Amino acid sequence: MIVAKDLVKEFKIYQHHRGAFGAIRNMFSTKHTIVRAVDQISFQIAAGELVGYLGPNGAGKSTTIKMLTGILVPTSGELTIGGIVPWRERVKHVRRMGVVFGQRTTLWWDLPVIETMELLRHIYKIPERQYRRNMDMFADLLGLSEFLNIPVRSLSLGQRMRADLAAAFLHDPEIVFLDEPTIGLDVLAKERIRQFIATINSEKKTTVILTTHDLGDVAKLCRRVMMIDRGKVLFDGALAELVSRFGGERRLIVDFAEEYDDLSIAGARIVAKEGRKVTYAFHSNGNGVAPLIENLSRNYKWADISLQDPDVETTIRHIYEQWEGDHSSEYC
Amino acid sequence: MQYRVSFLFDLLANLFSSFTDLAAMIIIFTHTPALKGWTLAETAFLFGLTNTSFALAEMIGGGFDVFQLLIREGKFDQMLVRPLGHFFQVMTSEFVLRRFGRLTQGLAIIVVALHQILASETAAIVVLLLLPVIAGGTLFYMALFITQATTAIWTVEGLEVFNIITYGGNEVLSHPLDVFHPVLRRFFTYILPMAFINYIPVAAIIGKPLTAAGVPPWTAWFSPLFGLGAFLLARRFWDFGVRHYQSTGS
Ligand SMILES: Nc1ncnc2c1ncn2[C@@H]1O[C@H](COP(=O)(O)OP(=O)(O)OP(=O)(O)O)[C@@H](O)[C@H]1O
Ligand SMILES: [Mg+2]
Repeated sequence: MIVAKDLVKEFKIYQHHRGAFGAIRNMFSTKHTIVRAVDQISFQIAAGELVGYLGPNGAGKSTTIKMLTGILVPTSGELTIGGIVPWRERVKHVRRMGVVFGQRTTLWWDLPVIETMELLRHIYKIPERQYRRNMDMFADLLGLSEFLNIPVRSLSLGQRMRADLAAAFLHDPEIVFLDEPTIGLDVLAKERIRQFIATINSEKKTTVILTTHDLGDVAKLCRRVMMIDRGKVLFDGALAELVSRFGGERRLIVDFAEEYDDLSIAGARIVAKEGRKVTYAFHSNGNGVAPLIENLSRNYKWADISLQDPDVETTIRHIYEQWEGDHSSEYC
Repeated sequence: MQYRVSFLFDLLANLFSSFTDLAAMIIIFTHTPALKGWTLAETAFLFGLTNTSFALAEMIGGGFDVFQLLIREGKFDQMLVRPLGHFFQVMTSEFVLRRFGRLTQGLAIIVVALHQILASETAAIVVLLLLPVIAGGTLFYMALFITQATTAIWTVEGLEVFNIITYGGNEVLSHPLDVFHPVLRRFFTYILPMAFINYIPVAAIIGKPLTAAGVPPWTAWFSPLFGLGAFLLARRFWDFGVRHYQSTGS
């Protein structure tokens, strides 16, 4: 449904001249630097998928979303969504699409929420029955009725985000882009929004593409993740595969029953020690944890053992740290 | 209430600022009965006509005046994700009612000046002839505003420089072509044919010789045509600009 091929977006940043004739010089100056925010990315997303689009700050996530929503025209490459090139047939494209930019509302600042929804109903020509049905559903899932009569500018961040989400899904779009929909929200609000996205995705088969820095969102919602750094997609696949491939080491936490001088065991390294509690890190290369525990039991008396598998959060931190290292080594 | 007070204040300021232009004109004409063959009433007629078109264009295209702000506040992004034309959305994003001051003033000047120049029977017919001329002028001013707004897509600071386009354009339209240097006269007739927007129709209506432009009076009918042409060109430039829109970083 979404097909992107060698998609590139470059930004031209013009140098600013200061002083008396600065403004005039700015007009005729061709001096500029080029930032390649999205660098030849290719991917395909099928209808009904829920994809997490991840990457560190400045990776190019929002730029990609802006191309997908038809705001930006790609510098080069191909992009079709349901057979349409977004910027070429913008109106047709946005009619079946919804979008939330967590950083900034897409609603009308001065209108009360209910009037916003009414206005959208006219803009998208939503049939009365469909409108009522969705409004009831959102009242339920998002608690919209608490603040229907408040102007958007007076809403709290969490309320505004819920209103923005309702607005994005109001016309039953085929596809919705969510750029950081949980930014700055408390735990409960995040939970509610995740629940909402999951419900709509499974009930209405809406395709959802979601960017976030909250890995709870990813763990909870996304089966598939795409990871981007410096404009390039570096991983695209199942979340489970990401964790097993990049998850790094597992951890074994042992509570020893007695004091020992030498606690080193083959195949694991000590990463923390706190009294008699020692944390080992190890790669389970197919053998699992059994050999380690055997080894421990043979040489030591222990009281308690627990095992930690890498989770999404540590995996992704791990990956970012690796990339960070790669970048700094480039400058050496 | 606060809004209403500031509205009134804006309205007065607006009236006053264009009134000073008129006052300057009257002062010049106290020393001479005619300037390059144009009397006070005739010059005022042209002035009233351009002011009327300018005010109408400002009222209809008020949104273009704030386009830079729409970009900076991310509101243009918001418009681009709605299934409505971006040109239409920007144009209607602001309705500048306070320009009503300039409009009523322009219309008043037209009526008073025409009364001085022509017998009332012909004046009634002339008013009808003025409609396409006012439309042409309005379209032309719209074209100027659209062009200036579009440049905001590339430059944020340097925008004031483009005021030259709008104010320069206004200066050319609101003076009889006769007051300009012959080279400029030819320029505004044959190269950038702004003389056809207001000057030539006005001269034709009040029966002035068109020696400054060197064209026959029937070319006055070009006014709405050229206005529309300028508008359509500006519209294309706008679409070109939107394709190069870069949005903001966050
Ligand atoms: N409108 C713009 N003009 C110039 N440069 C831009 C613009 N938008 C983004 N950039 C640059 O492009 C790069 C990618 O930015 P983008 O906003 O896509 O990142 P992101 O992945 O969304 O980051 P974050 O997680 O911080 O939101 C950055 O280097 C940024 O400075
Ligand atoms: Mg972003």
